[in-house]
Amino acid sequence: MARLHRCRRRLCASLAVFWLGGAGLLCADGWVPAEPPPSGAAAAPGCAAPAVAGAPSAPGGDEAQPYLRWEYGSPSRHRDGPAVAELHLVASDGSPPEDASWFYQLLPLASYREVLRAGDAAVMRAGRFEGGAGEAEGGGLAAGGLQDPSIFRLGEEGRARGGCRLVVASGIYAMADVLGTALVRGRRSYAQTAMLLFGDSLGGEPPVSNSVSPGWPSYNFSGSGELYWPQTGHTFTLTAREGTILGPVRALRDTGPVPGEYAGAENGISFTPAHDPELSAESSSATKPVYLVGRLPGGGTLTYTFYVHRSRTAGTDLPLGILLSAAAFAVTGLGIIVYRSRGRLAREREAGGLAA
Amino acid sequence: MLLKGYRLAIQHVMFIVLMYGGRFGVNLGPAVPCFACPYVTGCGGYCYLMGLQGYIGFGISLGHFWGFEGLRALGYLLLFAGLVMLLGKAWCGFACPFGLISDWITLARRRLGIPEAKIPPAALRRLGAVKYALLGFCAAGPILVNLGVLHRDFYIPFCQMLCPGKPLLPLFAGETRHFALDLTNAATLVITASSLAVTGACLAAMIARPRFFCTFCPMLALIHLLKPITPLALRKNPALCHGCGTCQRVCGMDVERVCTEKASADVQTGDCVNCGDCVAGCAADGALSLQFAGRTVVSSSAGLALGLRKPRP
Ligand code: SF4
Ligand code: SF4
Ligand code: SF4
Repeated sequence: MARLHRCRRRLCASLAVFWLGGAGLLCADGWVPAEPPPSGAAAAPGCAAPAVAGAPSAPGGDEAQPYLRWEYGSPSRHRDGPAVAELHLVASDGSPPEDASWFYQLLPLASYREVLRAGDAAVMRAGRFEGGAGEAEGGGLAAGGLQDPSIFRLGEEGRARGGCRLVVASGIYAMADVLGTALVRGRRSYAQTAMLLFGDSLGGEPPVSNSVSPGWPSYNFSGSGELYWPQTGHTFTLTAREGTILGPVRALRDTGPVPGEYAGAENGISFTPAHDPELSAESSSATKPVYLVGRLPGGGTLTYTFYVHRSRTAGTDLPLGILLSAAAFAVTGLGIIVYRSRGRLAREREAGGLAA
Repeated sequence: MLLKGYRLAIQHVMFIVLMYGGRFGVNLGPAVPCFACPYVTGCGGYCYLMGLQGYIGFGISLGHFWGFEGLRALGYLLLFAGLVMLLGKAWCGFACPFGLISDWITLARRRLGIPEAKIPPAALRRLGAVKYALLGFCAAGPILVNLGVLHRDFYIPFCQMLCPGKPLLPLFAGETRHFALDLTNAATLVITASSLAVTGACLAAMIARPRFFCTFCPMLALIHLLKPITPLALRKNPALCHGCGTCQRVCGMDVERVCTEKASADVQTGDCVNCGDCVAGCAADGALSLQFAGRTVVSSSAGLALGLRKPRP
C-alpha cells in the first residue's frame, strides 16, 4: 500500500513536471529520486559499505591480496567503422605488473556457436608488453586488413596510467575474448575478460584463423537472463576451463566485495550482483566493473572482469503502467464525449434560435 | 470498393511482412518509411525515425560525424529517400502497420455506429503543424542528450516518449512489457509515464477519429518534405470536379483541399496519406487520380465509385 502511494506520488509529480514542459531539463544527469527504486535492491544506497548476502569469506581472509585485472578504457569507433576497445592490464594495488603478455581472439557473433565448436576465430593475436609497466605496446586490427596498426600504438595517456594498454579493434560484430598475464609482486597472475565489439567496416569478412591459444588458466563465463548485456540481478556462472585448478572465487569491486548472492559451483562460482541504486540513477548504458577473483595453486590469481549495467526489468511495473494508460484513455474519451456533446448543444441552440 | 479491397489486402500483407518478416528471414532494411517498429521482436524492417534519432545521437556522441558514422547516416538517409521515391506516401496508405491498426479501429467504430468526431478545418491545420515540431524533436533530442541537457536515458526520445507504436505494436508479437511503468529512476519514470499516457490518449482519439495519430506523425512530415522528389502524387482536374464534397467526406485525414481546390492540379497536402479513398469515392470521371511520375495509376470514375461505402455519418 505504501509502495502504491509512493508510486502514485511519483507518478503525479513526474506527469506534472513533464506536461509543464520541464521534463528533460529536470532529468538531466544528477537529478535522481530521493528514494531508491523499488527494484528489490538489497544494497544500501551508495553501496560503499555493503552487506554481502551469503558471500564466502575471502580466500585466506586476505581481501587486500593484490590481483591482476583487465580494466576497460573508454570505447570508441575508428573513423572507418571498426569498434575500438581499450584495455588496461593493472594490478589491484597499483603495483607495476611485470613480464606481461596478452592474447586475444575475435569470435564473430554471426557464427559464434559454430566458431566456438570448431575452436577457431576470426582473428587471434598474441604478444608481450615490452619493457614492463609504463612502456607497454598494444596491437590491434580490423576486418579486411583495412586498418593501419600504427594508430593503436600506446599514447601518453596509457603510459601515464602506468599499466599495460591493449587496444582491440573489430570491423565486424564480434566477441573479443582477452587474456593477459603478468607477475604481480612476484606471483604469476592471470586476467581475463570478454567484450562485445559492434564494429563495422567497408571491408569483407576477416580471414578465419585458428592458431593455438596459449593454454593459460582461464574461465568459462555464462550469464542467465535475457541476452542483452550483463545486468544486476542476473546470475553469472564462472567455471574453470579444463586444466585450470582454482581455489574459492570472490566478487570484488576495487578491493571491496560486491553485494549480491553467491553460490558455489564446481571449481567456480555463481554470482548474482545486487541492484545498485547509484547505477540505477545513471543511464542504461552506464556500467560498473565486477572482478571475479580466484586463487591459483601457486598463490597467484585468475581474475575475470565484466561490467554490469542496471537491470532493465527490475524497476518496471506492468499493472501500474496499464492503469496509467487506461486512465489516459478514460480521461481523453471523456474529454471527447464532453466536447462532442457541447458541440451538439451549440448546434441545437443555434437551430432553435434560427427557428425562433 | 474494388480499390479499397485491394488496399486492405495489401495493408494486411505488409502488416505481416513488417511485423513478422524477421521470423522468416525478411528484412526491408534500416530505413523503412513507416512504423516498422524495432521494438517488435522479429519485425521485418526498421522504422527510419528510430534510425534518424539513433544515428544523429550516436554519431555526435562518438565525435565521428564526419567519418563512418556520418557516412552511414547519409547512406541510410539516401536509402530512406529511395524508398520514399518508390512509394511516396503510399507507405502510409498501404503499408504502415500502425495505419492499419487505426483503420481496424475505424472499421469497428463504424460497425458500432459511433459517429466520427469532427475537428474544425482551421484547428486541424494548426494541429497538422505539430508533426513538423515532432520531427524537429526527433532531430534535436539526441543532440540535447549529447550536450548533457537531457539525461542519457532519453537517447531516442520520440520513440521512447511519444510514439504510441512502441507499446501498441509489440502487443501483436505477444509482448506486453512496453506497457510497464519504469520506476528505475526519474528519467525512466518520465519517459514511460509519457509514453503510456500518450498511448492511452491516442487510442481513445483513434476511436473517435480515423488515422488520428497520422495528423501528428513526424514520419508523414518527413515524407512530405521529400515531396519534390516523390513521383507518386494525388492530382485533381478541377474542370471535371462536380463539387459534391464526397472526397473530403470519405477522407480519413479530412483533407479539405482535395474538395475545395479549384485551380491547381496539386492536391497532395501535408496531411494526405495517399490512401486513395477519395479517388475511389469520387464519381466524376477523371477528376481525381493517383499518378506516378505523371502516369495515371488509378483515376476516379462513376464505375469505381459504385458500391463504395456510404459517406460517413
Ligand atoms: S517507437 Fe515508433 S518511431 Fe520508434 S521505431 Fe517504433 S514505430 Fe518507429
Ligand atoms: S503517418 Fe500514419 S501511416 Fe504514416 S507512418 Fe505515421 S502512423 Fe504510419
Ligand atoms: S486526400 Fe485522398 S488520398 Fe489523401 S488521405 Fe484523403 S482520401 Fe486519402
